Amino acid sequence: MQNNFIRYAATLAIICLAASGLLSVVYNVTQPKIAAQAKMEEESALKDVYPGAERFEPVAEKGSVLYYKALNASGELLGYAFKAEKKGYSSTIVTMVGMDTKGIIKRIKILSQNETPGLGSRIEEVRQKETFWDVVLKKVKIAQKPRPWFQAQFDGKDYKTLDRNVEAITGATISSLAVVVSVEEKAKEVMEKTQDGR
Amino acid sequence: MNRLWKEFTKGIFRENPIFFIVLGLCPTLAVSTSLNNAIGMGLAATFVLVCSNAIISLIRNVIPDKIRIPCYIVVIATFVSIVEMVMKAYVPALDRALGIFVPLIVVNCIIMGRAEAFASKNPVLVSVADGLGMGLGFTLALLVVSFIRETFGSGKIAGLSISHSFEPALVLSLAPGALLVLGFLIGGIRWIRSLRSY
Repeated sequence: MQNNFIRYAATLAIICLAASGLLSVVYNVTQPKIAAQAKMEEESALKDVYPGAERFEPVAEKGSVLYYKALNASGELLGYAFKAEKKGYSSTIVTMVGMDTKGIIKRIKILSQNETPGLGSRIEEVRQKETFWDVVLKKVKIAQKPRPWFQAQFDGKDYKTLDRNVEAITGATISSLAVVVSVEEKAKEVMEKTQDGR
Repeated sequence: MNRLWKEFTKGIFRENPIFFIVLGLCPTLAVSTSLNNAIGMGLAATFVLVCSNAIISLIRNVIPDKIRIPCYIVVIATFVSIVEMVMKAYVPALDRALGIFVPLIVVNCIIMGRAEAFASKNPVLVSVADGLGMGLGFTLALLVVSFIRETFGSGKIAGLSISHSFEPALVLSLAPGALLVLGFLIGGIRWIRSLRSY
C-alpha cells in the first residue's frame, strides 16, 4: 500500500517534469516571436487609426499605457491614439482609436471581438463587391479590402456626438453601443488628462 | 499495414467522432460558424490527438491504472500549450480567430476518449493511425457542418459572400442552428445506413 503511493507520486512527478521541460523549451523559442508579433500588430493598428502620423509615443500611467501621442516627422503633436474596451454582447470588444487634439475621431479599428457571428460580429463586416463565385469561377482578384462600414461611420466625428451620429447595426444594438460608449468614455478620459497637462 | 489503414479510415467514416460516436460536440457547436475556423480547429485538434495518442501509447505500461487520468491530462495539456504558443508566434490571425477554443482542446472529449479507449491499450503506430483518422474525421465533420452553417447562416463561403441578393437565415449561425444542422446530418447518415443494411 505504502509503496504504491510512492510509486504513483513518483510516476506522476516524472511525467510532469518531462512536460514542463518540453514546455519551457517551446516557450523560450516562441516567446520572442510572440512579443514581436504583438508589437508589430500594435504598430500597424496605430498607423491604421492615425494615418499621417510618423511616430507614436506611449504615455504610461501606473505601469500601463494610457494613450499614445501621435507625432509628425518633426515631433509636433498631431493628436492621440488609444485603446478603448468594453464588454459587448458575448465578448470584450477592444478598439484602437485615433483622435486629434480637438477631440475629432480620425479612425477607429476593432482589434479583437468575439461577438455573435452574423449579428454582433458585423461591427467588422466589410461590404465586398466580389462574391465567392467571382473569385472561384471568374478568377477575380480581391482588390484592397474596403474598410468595415460600421467603423467608417466614426471618421471625422466629434467624440461627444458619437451616440447621435453612429448608426447601430440591426439586431446588434448591444455590440454597436459597446463600441460607441467605450470610445466615448476613453476619449473623454484622454481629453481630460491632456487638457490638464497643458 | 492493413491494420494501420483500418484504424486510420475508421475514424473518418465508420466511427466518425462527431457523426457516429457523437463526442466533442462543444467545439463542434462553437467553431462551426465558418469554414476558416473549422479548418484551424480541426487541424489543431488533430495535431494534439496524434501527439497525445503517441505519447500515451508509449507510456501506457508505465502508468499505474489508478492515476492514468491525471497522466493523460498532463500529456494533453502540454501539447495544447505547445499548439497555442506556436500558433501565437507563427499564425497570429488563426490564433485570434480561434481564441478561447484552443485551450478548450484540453477537455475535448475526443482526445480524452481516444486516450482512454484506444491509445492506452494499443501499440504506438496503431495509436498514431487512430489519432490521425479520428482527427481528420473530426475536421471533415466540422467542415461539413460549417459549410452548411456558413452558406445558409451568413450567406458566405470561406468569408466571401455568395450573392448580394441572398438574405441568409441567421438562426443557422447561432447555437440552435448548430444543433439543428448536426441533428439532421446525424439523422440523415443513420437513415442512409439503415437503407443499406436491408
